[in-house]
Amino acid sequence: MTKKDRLPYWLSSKVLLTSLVLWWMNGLPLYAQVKTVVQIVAENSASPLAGVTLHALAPAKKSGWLTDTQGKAYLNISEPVNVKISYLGYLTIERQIVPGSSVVIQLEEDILGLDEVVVTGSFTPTTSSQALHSVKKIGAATIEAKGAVNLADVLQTQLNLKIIQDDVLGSRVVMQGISGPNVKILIDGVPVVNGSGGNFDLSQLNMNNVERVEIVEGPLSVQYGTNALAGTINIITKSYQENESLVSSSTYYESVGQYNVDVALAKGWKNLSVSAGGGRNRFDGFSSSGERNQDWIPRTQYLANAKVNYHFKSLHVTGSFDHMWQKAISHGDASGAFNSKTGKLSLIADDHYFKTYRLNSALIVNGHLSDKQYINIVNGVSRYTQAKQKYLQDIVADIKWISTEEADHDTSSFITWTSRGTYVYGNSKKKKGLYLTVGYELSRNSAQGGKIRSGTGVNVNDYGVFTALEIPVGNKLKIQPALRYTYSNKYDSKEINFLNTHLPLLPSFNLKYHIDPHLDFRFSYGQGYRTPSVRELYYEFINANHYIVGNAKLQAEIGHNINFSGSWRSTFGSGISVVVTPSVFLTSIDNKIELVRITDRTSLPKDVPKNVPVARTYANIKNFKSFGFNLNAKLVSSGGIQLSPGFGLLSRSGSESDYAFYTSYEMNLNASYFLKPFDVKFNIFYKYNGRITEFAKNEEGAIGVLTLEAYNTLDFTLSKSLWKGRVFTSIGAKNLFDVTDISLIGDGSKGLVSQTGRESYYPISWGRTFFIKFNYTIH
Amino acid sequence: MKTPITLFLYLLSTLFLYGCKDKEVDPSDNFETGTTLTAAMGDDLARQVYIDLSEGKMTSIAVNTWELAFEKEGNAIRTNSAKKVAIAIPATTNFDEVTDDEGLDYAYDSSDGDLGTTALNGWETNQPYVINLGIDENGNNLGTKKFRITAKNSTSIAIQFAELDGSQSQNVNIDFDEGNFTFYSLINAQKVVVEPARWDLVLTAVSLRTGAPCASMGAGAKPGVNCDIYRLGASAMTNTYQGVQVAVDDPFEELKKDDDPEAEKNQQTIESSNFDDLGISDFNTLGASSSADAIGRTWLQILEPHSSGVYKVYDFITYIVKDTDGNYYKLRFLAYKGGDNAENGYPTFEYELLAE
Repeated sequence: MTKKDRLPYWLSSKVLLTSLVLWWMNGLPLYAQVKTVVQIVAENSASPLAGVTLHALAPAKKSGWLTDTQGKAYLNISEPVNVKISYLGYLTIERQIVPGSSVVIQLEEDILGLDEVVVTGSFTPTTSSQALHSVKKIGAATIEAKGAVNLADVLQTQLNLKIIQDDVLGSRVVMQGISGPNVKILIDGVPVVNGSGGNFDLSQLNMNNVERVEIVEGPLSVQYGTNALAGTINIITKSYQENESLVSSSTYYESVGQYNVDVALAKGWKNLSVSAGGGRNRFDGFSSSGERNQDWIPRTQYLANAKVNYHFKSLHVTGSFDHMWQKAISHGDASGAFNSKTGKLSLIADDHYFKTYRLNSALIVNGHLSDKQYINIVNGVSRYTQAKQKYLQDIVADIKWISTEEADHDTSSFITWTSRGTYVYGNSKKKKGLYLTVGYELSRNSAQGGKIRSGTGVNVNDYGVFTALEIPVGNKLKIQPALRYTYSNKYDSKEINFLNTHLPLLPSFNLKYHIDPHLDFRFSYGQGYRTPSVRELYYEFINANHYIVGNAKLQAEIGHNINFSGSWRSTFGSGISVVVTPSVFLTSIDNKIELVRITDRTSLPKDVPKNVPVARTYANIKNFKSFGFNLNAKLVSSGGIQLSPGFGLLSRSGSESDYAFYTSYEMNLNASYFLKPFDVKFNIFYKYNGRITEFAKNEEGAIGVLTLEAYNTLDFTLSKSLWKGRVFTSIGAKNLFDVTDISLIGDGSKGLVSQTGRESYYPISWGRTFFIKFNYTIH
Repeated sequence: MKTPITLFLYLLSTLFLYGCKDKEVDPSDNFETGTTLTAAMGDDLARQVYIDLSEGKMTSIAVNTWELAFEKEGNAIRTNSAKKVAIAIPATTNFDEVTDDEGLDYAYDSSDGDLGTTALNGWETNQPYVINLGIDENGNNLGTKKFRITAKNSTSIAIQFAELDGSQSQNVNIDFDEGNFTFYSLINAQKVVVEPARWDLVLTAVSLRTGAPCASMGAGAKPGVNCDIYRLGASAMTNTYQGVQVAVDDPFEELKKDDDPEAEKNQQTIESSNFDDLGISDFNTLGASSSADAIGRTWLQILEPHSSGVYKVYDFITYIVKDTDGNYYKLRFLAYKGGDNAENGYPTFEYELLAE
């Protein structure tokens, strides 16, 4: 795999920068005075680097140069100039160049990815090392190496994240011990609507068109509004470069019974690039018990996407569509029954057929209006529709028929419209001085269908305006206070009660202290909130076995988060770079919304059977607290070894535990070794998930706990590019410890995710599997 | 150089065209049966189904239509056990003094259908009774009333009933119908036709103890009141009033009924049934019973976990039924789950007339 494959987004921004530089060069008179020669070489090999961008910073002259094949650039300068030197895959540096000199400058390879672009949480695209938030990145290379099909696969080995599987609701994320609805999921910055279960089904987000996944822990409510309380996961889709044409296709097989194919086409012109793709993912389902009722239900997904990118001067306009159709069947266990259709004794099961459709579409305009003005306008719609039908399946006669009970079928749909705009004023090209950001966000959420109480005004709309000011204090310190004013049509946002003023203001504060190139610190405080979702307010799921209803009296969740992290980097003699990142966080959430058991059955409506097995509603939990400590390290050697060990401690508490703390531990290790002579990369993904306890008070006020036992996951993969990089293959073994179901111990009423039934285990994985993936690209 | 493309295209096409069928089930599970009837009680057991074997006829009655049934020939009064109707006897004999049911213990008709063990067995004229009207099909309590029997003769019965606060008091004289029992609704203050003229057995819910242990509650435990409370279960009651008798052939009689799916009795199948071999002569050999619950709930067993609602039907048991016309039938239950939506509460049985 080439670097270009791995980092097209990054590359495209570099190319963009290059083209901008060239454009300035054409548009401006060049100062032709004394000849100055700069040669750029790679630090390790001393080989010249062609196409390196040199950009004059001070005195403020809009000048730029590119190195030729010998790595040489000829500068026409008459006075000493500070030049920013940047090149793909190498750390950007600044040097002063004196007229008439002839210098050789070494560029250090960016093996730690410090200069890679990140977008989540910052108002303008920035780099990992410059960002005020710590942004975790999972790039396409890692996604490929893991053989990850969907977002659940990608997140499985990350610290502070857990994926919990449900047969009907799919794969749900738990971040820092806080479940699904509090994690904001974005695609290219556009919020994606949650599904039927209130939690997001991560298996519906496919990775075949994804460039990288960015994760920010802690609230980003000033930036993204409601839901971004535990954290934000932003999926950045692939962007193709101008003048690039390719046809790419990949196939994937995993021994559990996954068969995926996809194809992508891209064509670029001078200012325009168009791409389209599609695919089919098929999964046969898995049941650890071998029962007909599977924890992982079989499904087939069809995917289609298209993207158009146009740039006009420095403004980019991007339009995208992303569709997913999914058919899934939840099989029931068959039991002895008399088939009234055949008049025979048989085995009959209840099978539920789910047809799900997702649409995510966005229109994004961003770029520099001038040197000092940057805008980013994101408009998007995210739609989720699920039709459910119940069939009776005679598994002996192999005939099926649809249930005649109307309540057995329904179609629900959820739509979120978002428009978010930010305007940034500040010298963003040189990353100097004050930055002022102002922005707005409109979010309209509606729901309809069988499971939403009819006759209710089922729109939950949030409106916000926000502002942030990044202030440099000296050379090393940057601070950014920010504020969001929020309004909701369904909830009194004054309850946010900013500094006891009864104002609906959400503050955040970021600080970055850059001590020297080896050491920096980040501090962040953020207040987050989450308005009750349409589902939590108006859900109504009533049948013979369930009575699960929303609660129109819910209050919004309000959270506070403090995060402090450091980053220490060093490079040792023989091309070994190390970065160590310790961090601590503290979160407190008031009025956390949770699904709780209804204990007083006499309060159920008259038409509901009092002995219904599952009776739940949503309620506010007074307080939830958590704190954690993480230690991550990364070691990279020029010899091709990468080691990323991590350790995490998470301690959770709150009113439901009478403020007693429950602590859990995690460890992970991602490692890879690139064997250059054979062009083969070996990867190991390991994670230890310690015991984690969920707690809740029962009706008598006693604390009940449910503990998920510890487990280890280990994947081993191998990737190799063949035939001059046109074919890229990865093969590997996933879940070498053969983990399937993990026991739950205890008498608590509540698990890590809202369960509708009571099982003594969580299905964590489908056991040890082998996979092979081929990717074939023609440029 | 062509190999990778060929290989790739091959993989692409196999994966794309790949499809898999649902797993086949051994068709030998399929069992041929003779004449069957399915009694549609509903998954909420909201209907009682009367069966006349010689006509092969079913009569379905909504459960929540009556509370009391008065015997024409005798003095027995039955309560509607299919919706948990219960009777409490206040200490006073003054009808007006009865204002609540506090501290009173409710009694239910026993599930064996014996007229000597009904809740109102040994009733006395003018003694006030508190009646719990039971539950509707969704489990909602229907409330309580008080009543007393003011007079009874061979053709009618006179009762007074009222709300517990004394309101809506009325005196009614109920003329007996043709049948053995006359059914009455206190809720609607009217007679109801329930039993058809001819029937051999009825599939109905009966009030049963849950069987949950009371030990944990200590001295405060009142079985049937605050623990081991009553619930509904499906039962097949025979018309002993008109002489229906039943002989039972259970090849696994010695095995205990148990809700553990692994219990030995729950492993037995219809393959062990003696249904095909049994004849009239076996009616006497096996020994006939005149109990109304000779069939009862012996054919049905809920399995753990109860919440899954999986029942084992003891299809290996054969019942030889002498019906009201003096005909002999052999009968076995095949399923509890059935109907258009394959739900519980749809017991299906197979039956066959035995030749003399």
